Amino acid sequence: MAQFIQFTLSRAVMAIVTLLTVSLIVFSLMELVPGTCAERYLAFKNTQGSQITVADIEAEKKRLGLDRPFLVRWASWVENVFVRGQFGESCILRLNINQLLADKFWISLGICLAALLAAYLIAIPVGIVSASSKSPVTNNVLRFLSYLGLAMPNFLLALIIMLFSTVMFGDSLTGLFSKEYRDAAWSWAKFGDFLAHAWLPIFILGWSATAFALQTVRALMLDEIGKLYVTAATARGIFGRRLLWRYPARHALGPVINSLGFDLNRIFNELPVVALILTLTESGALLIESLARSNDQQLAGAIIFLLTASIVFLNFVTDIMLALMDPRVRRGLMG
Amino acid sequence: MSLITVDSLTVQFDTDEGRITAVEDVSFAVAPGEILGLVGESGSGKSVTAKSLMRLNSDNARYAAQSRVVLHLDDRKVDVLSLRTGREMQIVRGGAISMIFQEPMASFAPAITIGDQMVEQLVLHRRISEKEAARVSIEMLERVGISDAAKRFGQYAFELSGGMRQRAMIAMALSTRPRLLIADEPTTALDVTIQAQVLDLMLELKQKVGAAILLITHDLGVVAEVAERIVVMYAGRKVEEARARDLFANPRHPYTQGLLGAVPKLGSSLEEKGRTRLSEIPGMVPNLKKPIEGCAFASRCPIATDLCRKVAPAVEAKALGHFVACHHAPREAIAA
Repeated sequence: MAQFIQFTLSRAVMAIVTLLTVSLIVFSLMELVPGTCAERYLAFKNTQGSQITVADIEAEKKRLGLDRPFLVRWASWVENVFVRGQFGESCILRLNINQLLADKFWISLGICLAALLAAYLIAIPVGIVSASSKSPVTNNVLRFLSYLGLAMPNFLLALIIMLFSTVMFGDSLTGLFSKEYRDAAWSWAKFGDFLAHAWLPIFILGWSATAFALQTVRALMLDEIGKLYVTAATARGIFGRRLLWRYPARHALGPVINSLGFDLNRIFNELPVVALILTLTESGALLIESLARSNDQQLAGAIIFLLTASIVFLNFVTDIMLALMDPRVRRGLMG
Repeated sequence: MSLITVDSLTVQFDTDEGRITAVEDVSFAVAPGEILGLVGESGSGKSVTAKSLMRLNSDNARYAAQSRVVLHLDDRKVDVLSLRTGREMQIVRGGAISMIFQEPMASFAPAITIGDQMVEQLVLHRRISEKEAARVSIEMLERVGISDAAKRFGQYAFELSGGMRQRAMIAMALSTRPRLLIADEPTTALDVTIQAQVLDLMLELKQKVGAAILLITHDLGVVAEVAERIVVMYAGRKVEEARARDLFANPRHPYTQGLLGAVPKLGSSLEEKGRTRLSEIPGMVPNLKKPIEGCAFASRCPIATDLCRKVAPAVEAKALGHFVACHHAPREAIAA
């Protein structure tokens, strides 16, 4: 048990080290954007008609602490993020980033995790059964659907569904909340309204994720089914569902869990595009906006860091799950 | 009375490259309690033949219509090739027949304990409670000389040493008291000292349990040591069958003669004759994707004639209990 705690702690430390490295990269990227936060804000002001001087810029730089060396600024950013959980102020919007993101981040994460969960809930049983199925019809239908999922871009699927829905029902299915709930506080009614809207982005993101996961599960299963221990179990008279689930399926599950973090990453990458098309202002679209339109490096950095942190955290969880599931790892850790 | 009879067994595999004949018209029988060695090089069809007894060949295997594998039990006969469902096949899979494999590590499921796998099998075949099955399993592990058997029972294959895994696998195979144990290259992956231990263990347990053994190997040294009778296979066909003593003293098929010539012998070595080379069999095993015309060994045989290349020789008794598939093998008068 002591070893297990040690293992968990060492993984946690590694996760934090990864996050620090990520934060350095993210922070450097934020710095690489031409111009500083101060210059950009004042330039933005300028376009709004304010007269500004070099002195104004210098004063603003000082106010934001931009005159300090790079590493010091990174350290203070890290301190704010890791210790206080504060991402500071947005460059352009001049709003507290935590307030700005708040719900939006959790909603985005929720949609991605729901898509991931749906993908695996479908892919694991279907992949296991299809790998052991000898029916060419089942296999070809699954293969076709799976390739369709892999080959069709998400935005195209989203557009097709929107077009279909608009023509048929007069509802474009965009957004995440009905008007009356948009600014309301969270309640069960609002949550229900959210679910009534969120199924579509979850479905679209889950569609290709399922196709991917299905390929993974199937490949892993085919690999396991061919192994000698399965033949040996067959030679002992074990057959049917018991043979399938207790032997190859159980042993294929480890690598499947391992692929979770990777898949979440891909879903995150696809979220902004889907969010843009479905006009989900409450999620990934904000990232594109902050990067492309307004060059809001503070906000973009915060978003990228949060996404990365989610993936690092999921990988940490899957590592622990794997250690608990696989006796080869578990025995090494807990004796 | 034989325990199991294999009659005109022909096994083909449907592959992307066409139909491959892996085993062609092979017949033999195993008597109760007997040790039969099935010898041949890789690709000779010995494993496919053995797996046919348990119907373990992959799904693309086709058994010819005239092929028969019959298991003779005390109260009934089982036509193995006509078994259909998994439940029906339990009689030959872990019931009357058990199998041990070349790689004990790979034949245990990595994430299930040795004990769980043993209990699962016992409960399936002997209709006993799990508690009773656990007791029998631990006892069996003790009998194969595994120290601290109760602890090993709860461990995984990766926690055992190589020799111990081999013993555990033998214990598991024999715990259901099979009538026939099929051992597929059981000693190939082991070093020589462990090989001897494992062979001794198999012999000892065979005595106690009263099982027959079908020993599949390419290692003539191993069969020479333990087998009572030997079947030699080449390119999917049986080429020779004889009592072990007769086969080694007087091999009659040119292939068997070649095999024995390729084995180094103690004593007949460098000092005696200078640097003599081990003889080898020239040429290559024929391609099984095409039907072989005539004798399968003809292309490599030193005494092959046109007859050999055209007509496949039938397996005939050339001496008492000595069967050879060769047109040119000398025949002895067989006392009636």
